[in-house]
Amino acid sequence: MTWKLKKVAPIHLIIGDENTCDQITKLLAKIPAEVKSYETANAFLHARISEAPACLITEVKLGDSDGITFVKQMREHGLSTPVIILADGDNSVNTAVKAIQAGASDFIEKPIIERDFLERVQKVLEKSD
Amino acid sequence: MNKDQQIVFIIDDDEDVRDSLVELVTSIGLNARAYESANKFLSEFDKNAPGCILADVRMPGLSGIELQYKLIELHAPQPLIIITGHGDITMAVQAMKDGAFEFLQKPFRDQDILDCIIKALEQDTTNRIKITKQDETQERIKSLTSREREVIDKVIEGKSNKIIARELGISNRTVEIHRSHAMEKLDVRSVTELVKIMLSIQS
Repeated sequence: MTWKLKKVAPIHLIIGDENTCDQITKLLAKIPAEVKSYETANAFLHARISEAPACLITEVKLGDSDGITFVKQMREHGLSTPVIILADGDNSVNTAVKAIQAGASDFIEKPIIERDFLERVQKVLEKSD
Repeated sequence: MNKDQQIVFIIDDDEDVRDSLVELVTSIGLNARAYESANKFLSEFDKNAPGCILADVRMPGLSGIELQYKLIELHAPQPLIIITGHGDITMAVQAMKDGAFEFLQKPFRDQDILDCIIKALEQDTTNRIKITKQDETQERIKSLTSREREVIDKVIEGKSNKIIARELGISNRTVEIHRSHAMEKLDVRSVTELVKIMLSIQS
């Protein structure tokens, strides 16, 4: 696929699982954006962030929280940064629905397919542009 | 919006499902109207009829998902609840991103769908209040003279009376008069309120 955007603001990952984090980082290397990763929601919340992220990518299951609660809290605090939630293999339709209702921009199932994933990230970034 | 006027529109090709949903909805005192196809529903559709829409996905003719696209095109204010026995995550995510109110899998518990319907009806009321407010704002904006509108547009850009006066080739005092008349017509007391009201009609 062709990447339509020039330079984008950083993409922040909040992903506890090391393998998933590595995989996503590798895929995002194809995007002209800086990638920063955090293992937990708490680590992200306490980090010093100099440039507003273009989007956040997180998981349903986080060590100290869960992706859906995290999005909900962000929206309650008036933060509109787009969030993509990655599903676990055993997540249901119901979880997907809750994620979008909570304010997630997208909910992506595993296994992650490179082309599909990058296209969806691009769509989210275009919308927030 | 009066609860008595709201209607739960039920669209499912399965007669048994239709009947049991109608029974369930009317059992708590709500009005229901059932259709065997999305096409039939659309032929009678009135976006001014307050309520919410419950639609199955798999139906002969238009599917529930195709119905959703039609409703988006029509700017229907009624929230849409999609019910399906064959849903997958991809379909659910797409429907929700496209603005469905809820995506429920069959079989569902009676209480779950009732809770969902009640919330959807509240949402319909909220949507209609918002639309009425936007319409009122549009009317107020239309009542501005072209000069008042010009001045207001510049105020929103953050320009001072002095700069506006220079740009329009009129006196400061005249700018002030136009500005205060416009604010009065729009029923706003501050520039913040003014910006908010002008932005509200754009979205």
